[in-house]
Amino acid sequence: MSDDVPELPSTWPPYDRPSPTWSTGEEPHGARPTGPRSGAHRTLRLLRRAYRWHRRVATVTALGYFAAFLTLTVKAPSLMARPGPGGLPTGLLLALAQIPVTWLAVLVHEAAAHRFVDPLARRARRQTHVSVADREQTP
Amino acid sequence: MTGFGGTAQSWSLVAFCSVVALTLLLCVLTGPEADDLAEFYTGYRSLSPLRNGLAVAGDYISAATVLTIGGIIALCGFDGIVLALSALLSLLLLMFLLAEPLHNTGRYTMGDALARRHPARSVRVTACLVTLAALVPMMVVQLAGVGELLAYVLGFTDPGMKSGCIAGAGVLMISYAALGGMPGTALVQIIKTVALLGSGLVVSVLILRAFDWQPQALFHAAARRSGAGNAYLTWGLQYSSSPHPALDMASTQCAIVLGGACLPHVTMRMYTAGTPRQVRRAMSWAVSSVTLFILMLTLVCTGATALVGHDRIAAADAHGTTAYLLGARAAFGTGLSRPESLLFATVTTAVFLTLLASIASMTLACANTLAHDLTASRATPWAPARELVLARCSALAVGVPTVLLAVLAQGHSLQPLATVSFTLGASAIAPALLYTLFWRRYTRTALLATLVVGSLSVLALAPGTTLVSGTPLSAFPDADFAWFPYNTPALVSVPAGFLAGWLTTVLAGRRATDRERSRYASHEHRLLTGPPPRHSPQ
Repeated sequence: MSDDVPELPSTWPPYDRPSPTWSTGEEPHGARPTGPRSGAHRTLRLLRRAYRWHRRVATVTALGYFAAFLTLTVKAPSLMARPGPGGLPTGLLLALAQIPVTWLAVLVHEAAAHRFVDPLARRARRQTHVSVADREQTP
Repeated sequence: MTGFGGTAQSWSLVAFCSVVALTLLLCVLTGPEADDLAEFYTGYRSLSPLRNGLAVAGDYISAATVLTIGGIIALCGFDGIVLALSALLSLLLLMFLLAEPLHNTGRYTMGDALARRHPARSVRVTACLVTLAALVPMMVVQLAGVGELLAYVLGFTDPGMKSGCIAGAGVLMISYAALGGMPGTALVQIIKTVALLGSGLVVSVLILRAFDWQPQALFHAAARRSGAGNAYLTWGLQYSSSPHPALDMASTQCAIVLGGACLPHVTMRMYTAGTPRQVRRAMSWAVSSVTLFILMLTLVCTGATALVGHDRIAAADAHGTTAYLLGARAAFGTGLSRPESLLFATVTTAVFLTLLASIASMTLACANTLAHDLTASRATPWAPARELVLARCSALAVGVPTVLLAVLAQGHSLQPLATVSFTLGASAIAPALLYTLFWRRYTRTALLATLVVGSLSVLALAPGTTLVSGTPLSAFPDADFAWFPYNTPALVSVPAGFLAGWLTTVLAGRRATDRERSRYASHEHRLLTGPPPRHSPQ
């Protein structure tokens, strides 16, 4: 899995710089109702950035923990077999620890989304709604 | 013969029959109107997050999880626990990465999500074929499992009876999917999740009580009676016969982490929530319930080894698929009082319901894609009533061959089929969804290349793996035509799927990728903020 994930970030940097297609007005449907420097555009850019960081941090943390755990299991079996608290091997304890960690991760993820992403998404929806009513071109 | 007493058997039989009658009745009651397509496919996007989350969890905890992973936990200890954790991680990644974008771009099926960026008939047809290829093997696993489970719990061995059970379960699954549609199967899934979690909690508490509330005592006892000693609590028991144990483990984990939650019967539940926030909420409930279930599965199956012993579990089934039931039975002690029989019947019924509900959801996912993806790209779309009839007929068309395949497959090891499903999810569906949703330059040819190369490499390599032939635990233990010395084809097929998409895009040239970039930009608003509210019921 570790060789698949790094491909994604390498495709992402275009998100970072202000995309030229945004401002050239080339879009076939005229999907951007307002000018490139308007509030709606800025909100969308902020929202994109917020979503991207939200996703990236969460995924890298979850995958990273698991990949590190698997690597340790295979590469350092003696460390993982060493008895930890309760006489159980450290590896087993690290594995079982993932269960409470998952619950915690879900809580943190929801809280972060509520704090950083939802307000921007709400604003972006409201701005589009106010500025134009006929955005929807899909069936 | 089963080790279960007569009372437990008769209670189980009564419980099975009443559960079947009750769920069928509820399915008919909640089923959609005759010409209401949106309700059949998504239930109007009106399920509350809690109920939606329980339904996602129900979809995700298939019989393959309960029986196969449970068996590996009981027989191999640590390796099984890691396998269960990777299944959990897969759902967590679905929540983190794909759930909201999928909800925002998709409408009814995976084909919708892919075709929003690349509206073409070829995309929809390929998506439909990949969906079928990924889900039919999984359905065969579950259906054959129903025959085994009923034979085991009710205590018969006649193969004809088993085939009869499979056919009966097949009729049920087609009815659930065709009559109930999305609202009906969601209800069955919710009932199943609650039954499975409730009964599992009781059994886990009983097992912990048997070990004086000390989990470490439970694990030590399991290690003692596993016949492997401390190796049971460390890595490597499952892969001990493999020539490359580390690579084998890595590829198995990779297939489950990437593929488990990408399977279309799970992702189709992303479309049933109303807003992106509700999807997130629903996924929180789903991940929490699955986490709880994984914890209970670990306790019950380790408890099975600790209380019953490795030899009896392996004697009942070489892959340990009955370990969950044996653990539950052992938790109640030797003699069963009437309330205990009733409680034990709840456990067997929950497992039975798990099998039925998973197959129903998968049938629904297949029927939806057959009816929707094959007709949506027509110049003149079909009338909703006609498409609905087609969806119901598709459930029948998928169901009947699956039942026949399941009858043929019984008696063989079913692990290779489940592996094919997961690996297809990881090699074709996961890269296609990730690239489509997040990579601006991804072209339509590249999407087709990902789907085709990913699927074909899995289908080409799978027959050569060691799960199919060559070892005593293979599906065909007497033959040896294994030429790919790993458990799963994931080691080659996953990179092949990702590479095919990447290379085709890179080689497509600047003009093509620029065109894709601007097309992505025009869809980005919807990808980020979701469909406009007035669009939802159609």
